[in-house]
Amino acid sequence: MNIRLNKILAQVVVLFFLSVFLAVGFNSIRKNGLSFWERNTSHTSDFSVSISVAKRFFFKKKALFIDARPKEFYKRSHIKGAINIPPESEEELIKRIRLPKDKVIITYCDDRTCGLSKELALELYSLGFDNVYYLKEGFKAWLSQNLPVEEHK
Amino acid sequence: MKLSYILRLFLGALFIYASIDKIRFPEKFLKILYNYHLLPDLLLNPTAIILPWLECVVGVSLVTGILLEGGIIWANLLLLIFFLALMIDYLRGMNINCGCFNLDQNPSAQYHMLWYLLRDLLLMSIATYVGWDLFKKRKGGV
Repeated sequence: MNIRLNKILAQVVVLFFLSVFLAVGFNSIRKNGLSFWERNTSHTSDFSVSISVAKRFFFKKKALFIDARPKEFYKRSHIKGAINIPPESEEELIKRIRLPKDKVIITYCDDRTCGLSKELALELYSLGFDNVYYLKEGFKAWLSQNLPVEEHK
Repeated sequence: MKLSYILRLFLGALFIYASIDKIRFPEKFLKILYNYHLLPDLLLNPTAIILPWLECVVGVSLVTGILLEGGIIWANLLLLIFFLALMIDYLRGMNINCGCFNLDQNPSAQYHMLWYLLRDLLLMSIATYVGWDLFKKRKGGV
């Protein structure tokens, strides 16, 4: 029984180390390999901005606002001057639109519970946009403070 | 052909299929792992690098029958871990993209958490049955 158990455990260990070997090997030779320890998502923990900060950037015209919600929501209403990068065409649009690397970028979606703005900001950050933030309270808070929006009726 | 054999092949193929996108797009998989908010920062990248390959190796083991006992134990263990991760986030009230087979972050490609849990439960029962059948047979055979 013990021998049999040892054999099974040995198989479990072999499979694990084989996976580690393949993973590390493949990751080190591929172009878009991840760094093993360095987190490239570390920026996500503290890069939200509050509505008051976003408001200041907006009125000073120092930020580009990006609506991360699907197209139909953007069409209905969005922050004045904001452009739309919806989740369904995120990669394609980021490549196509020439976003300013020297300007502050603030992404937003509906409210605190929606993750689209954070995900888009993370994507942009990984593409080299260092001044990218997401609006923590989302578009609902912007509306509730009667800040400038563009609407399509 | 025996039922457990067919189920084993199905499970193996599923594991291989699930690993493909994760191996192809490690950054996307890393983002999905991050969205679970379960792993400490230090373990995010190693998990994003190793886990897809573990899935792939386990899948190959199930399909080919090489190191089969180890393979079925890993399959059960991985499915249990995925189930627990989904359950914890479900209980926290989160609605995330499971990233099990598809790394697409588009909300239209996202299902309800309960569906992910049910699907995982079904796969766990298949893996448990395959494992039970395998160990029962080997115990009787040796």
